[in-house]
Amino acid sequence: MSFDWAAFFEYLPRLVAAAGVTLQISVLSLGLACLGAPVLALARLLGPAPLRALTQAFIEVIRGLPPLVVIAFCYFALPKIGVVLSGFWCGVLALGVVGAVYAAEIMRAAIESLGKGQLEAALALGFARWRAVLEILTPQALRRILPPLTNEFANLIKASSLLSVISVHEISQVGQSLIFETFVVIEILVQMAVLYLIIIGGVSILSRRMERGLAA
Amino acid sequence: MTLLQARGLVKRFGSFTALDGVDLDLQRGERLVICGPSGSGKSTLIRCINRLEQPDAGTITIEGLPMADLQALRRRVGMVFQQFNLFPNLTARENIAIAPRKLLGLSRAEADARAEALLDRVQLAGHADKLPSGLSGGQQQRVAIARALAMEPVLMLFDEPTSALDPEMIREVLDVMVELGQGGMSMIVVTHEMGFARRAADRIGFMDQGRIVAMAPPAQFFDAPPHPRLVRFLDNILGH
Repeated sequence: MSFDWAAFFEYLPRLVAAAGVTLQISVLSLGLACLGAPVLALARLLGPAPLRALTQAFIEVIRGLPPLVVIAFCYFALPKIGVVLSGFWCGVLALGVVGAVYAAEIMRAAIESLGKGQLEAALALGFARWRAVLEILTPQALRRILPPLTNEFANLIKASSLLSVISVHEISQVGQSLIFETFVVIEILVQMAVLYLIIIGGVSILSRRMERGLAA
Repeated sequence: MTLLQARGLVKRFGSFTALDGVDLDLQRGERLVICGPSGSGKSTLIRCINRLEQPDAGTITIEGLPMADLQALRRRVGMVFQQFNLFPNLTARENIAIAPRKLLGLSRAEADARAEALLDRVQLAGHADKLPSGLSGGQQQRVAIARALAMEPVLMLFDEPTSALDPEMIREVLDVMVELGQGGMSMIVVTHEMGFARRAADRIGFMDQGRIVAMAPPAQFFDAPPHPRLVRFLDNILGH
């Protein structure tokens, strides 16, 4: 079997465009996850009892569902309560929520793993509980959460391939339809793989830089 | 003048009664040592004073005030822990400066200057830029003392401050505490260091089963122990 370079270059622009969509969804949903995760983690750590219970329930439900179900729920169920989003924004929302929930659990675990002594030392100095968590514990936890968080965010980018089921023109959807259209399989699969690796590799490099920045 | 007054303190952990009706008075500038067998309630007592534990019953006043505001209370009362509990991501200077900067509104320069002066006072000038992991246990505990002093407390609580230290480092920490007491700081020290108690305490209290069963100045405490349980305790730890 020979590698058809002509076909490779013929379909490359369409897949690069799709990679742009994947990148946009990834960046936006990572942003949403980064905003949502600390809110969820702090609500679980510091909130009044009802809020803590509610947050925990929400986290358990989302963590218990395959991302595909969350995506389908956003796309098919939200319109029933009047929230109509395009496939693109559904993807951002679903992946952002899934990412936020996993990242929140990573943050909570990291803060709790610091031990009671650190919290008590901050409280004894006169820090209110929420300030102790934010200003004393969180900076310590940040170094610990970055590696698992990077992992989680890579998973999130890969999960964007699931958005092909709601016809978002990201890498997997465009790749698949090209394959069915043209029967050029290997060339297109290679392009898909390389594009995913570039995006996820970029996140890994960024995270390693931040890790070094935090260690310094 | 009475600095601290505690009345009828009770603290239970499940079915275990850690404090069983403790009364305590501390005069301004007084240095009180609390000793007693493990589980007798010593740590619980001082943790109730700055409300790291919430007593189930009883009242505590500081300078005559009930101190309902937890943060205000804790800013007036410094605490030193057995395990130091320094912030591992901050240098010695930052460990000391962070609370005055964030809680008292000092500028970075002011807070750093305060930290350097305190490091000097605990004999650690020149160690300001080291992380806790680069300091010995004794040095870490002295930084922890400086960190508590940085809030300019009216009362210092020490919870077995030398129990986690190698024997050769105990002295350097106790020396700092003795000097602090001589400087007029009001202190409550939970410790098994009877040499320190004899040297530096105005009064020594002995706790057993959640109560203060004896309280006396050092000479009387050691030479004419006022309680039979204390006689046995002293026999055990001093190996008479």
